Amino acid sequence: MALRIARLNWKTLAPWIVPAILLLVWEIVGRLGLVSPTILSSPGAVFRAGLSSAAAGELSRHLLVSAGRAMIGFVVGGTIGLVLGLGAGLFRSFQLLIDGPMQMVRAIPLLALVPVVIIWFGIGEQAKLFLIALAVMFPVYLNTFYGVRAVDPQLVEMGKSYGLRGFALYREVLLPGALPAVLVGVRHGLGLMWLTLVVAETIAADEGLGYMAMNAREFMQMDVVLLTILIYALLGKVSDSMAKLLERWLLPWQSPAQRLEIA
Amino acid sequence: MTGLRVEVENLCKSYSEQEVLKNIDFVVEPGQFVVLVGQSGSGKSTLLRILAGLEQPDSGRALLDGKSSNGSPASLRVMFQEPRLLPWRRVVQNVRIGRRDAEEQEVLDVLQQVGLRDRAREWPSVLSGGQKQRVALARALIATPDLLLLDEPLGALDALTRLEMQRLTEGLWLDRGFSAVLVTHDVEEAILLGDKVCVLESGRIAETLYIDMPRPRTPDALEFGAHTSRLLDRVLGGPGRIPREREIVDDYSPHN
Repeated sequence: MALRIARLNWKTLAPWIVPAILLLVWEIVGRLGLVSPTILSSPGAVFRAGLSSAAAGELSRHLLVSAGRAMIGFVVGGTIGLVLGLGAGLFRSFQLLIDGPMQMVRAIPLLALVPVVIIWFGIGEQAKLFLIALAVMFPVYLNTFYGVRAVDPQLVEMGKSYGLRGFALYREVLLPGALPAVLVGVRHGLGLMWLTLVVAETIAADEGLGYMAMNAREFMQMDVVLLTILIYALLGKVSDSMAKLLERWLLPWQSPAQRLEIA
Repeated sequence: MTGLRVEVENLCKSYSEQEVLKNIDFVVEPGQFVVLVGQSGSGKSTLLRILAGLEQPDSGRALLDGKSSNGSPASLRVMFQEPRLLPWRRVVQNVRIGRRDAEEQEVLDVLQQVGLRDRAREWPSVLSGGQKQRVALARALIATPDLLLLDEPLGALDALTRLEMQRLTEGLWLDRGFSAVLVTHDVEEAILLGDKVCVLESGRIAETLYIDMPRPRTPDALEFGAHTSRLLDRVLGGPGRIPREREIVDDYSPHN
């Protein structure tokens, strides 16, 4: 019994040990004055910056604006990727039409598109949403396409032999069979969503976390810069946890080992 | 329900030059249990898949109650070598794939018949291999088919589970009276279950054996041994076909 509790504690504690040590070293370095606060603020200073920013209502405003951009971009890009992926996976002729162009566009580095996007959309909201949607679209498209194609042909044959036709075959066999891969695409897409958000908000913005960081840089407020970086890390972790919850909810039939989860 | 009459006439099938079936003729009488036995590559699975409408013959016909078999009517059900259950559907819903308008009670009843009523709410992934095949059997039988095609569904099971499944299948067949065609490479299984056993040998029916023993049959019955050795000889190509030492030496050629 004691061993079980110890193991349970280990499982919950283990992921936090390395971050805790890093934080401790960081704080000590700051306290000892080994590095100037303008180069690297101590965790305490970052925390205080967070508190004062939150108290002023700045933090939540920028956070909401950024999260809103991320969500809208993700939903738009994810939906397009899902629809195109399903189309290409299910219909051979649609695949011929769409897959070549998709692979070509995918090969273009997103950053190379930034000047084009600025000329097209200016530096307003649309440019940011466009970049995020574009980034999210590809992993969702690729994984959906792959997922539909990778559905066990034996199950498809069984379904046909048991009289499943048309939409019934999609609903019972093809779509549930593709779902695990789609969710892998969603998780990749979420990662790229934050990455692109940072890039997009750094180009030009007057609100959002990226703006907060750029603004702080102007005034050499290292603690605020670090605060935004920390918030990006937290947002990434939160969205990844949400993706895991989504998997558990949508794929209850999978064993934990199939979900590639450790904890 | 009486069972479907199957009539195969002059059936031929080849895959890229390789002739898999050569002029097959055979009949399954309504309610008869026919076993196709042969080594791998003898064409027995292909023949079954043509009956199931999963493959098309190059020439010849396969008639089910006088109608062409392409289109797989609901009166026909296939059990595959693998259970082929949908992992994302619980056992009840998997059985319902067999007949989607089935009432909850009917599903539970057929699960009762295969002895899995208490596993109705499980995911397939937690079931054993034998249990999965029993779910597949329930899924096949809920539509009360007139013809059940079994493509070596017991091949991957362990000896005990296999015995259990053989008894279960035979019991349900006796009870319901459908026609059945079983493909197997197990000679004992063929004699245990078949009214008629056809030996397939490189695409032809090499021998047909009628087995008239009381059911349920056991391997210690008097005729069982005789039937077994006769079938085994035939499946292995007959005692005369085992190459003698001289033949082997003659066949050896360094230029091959």
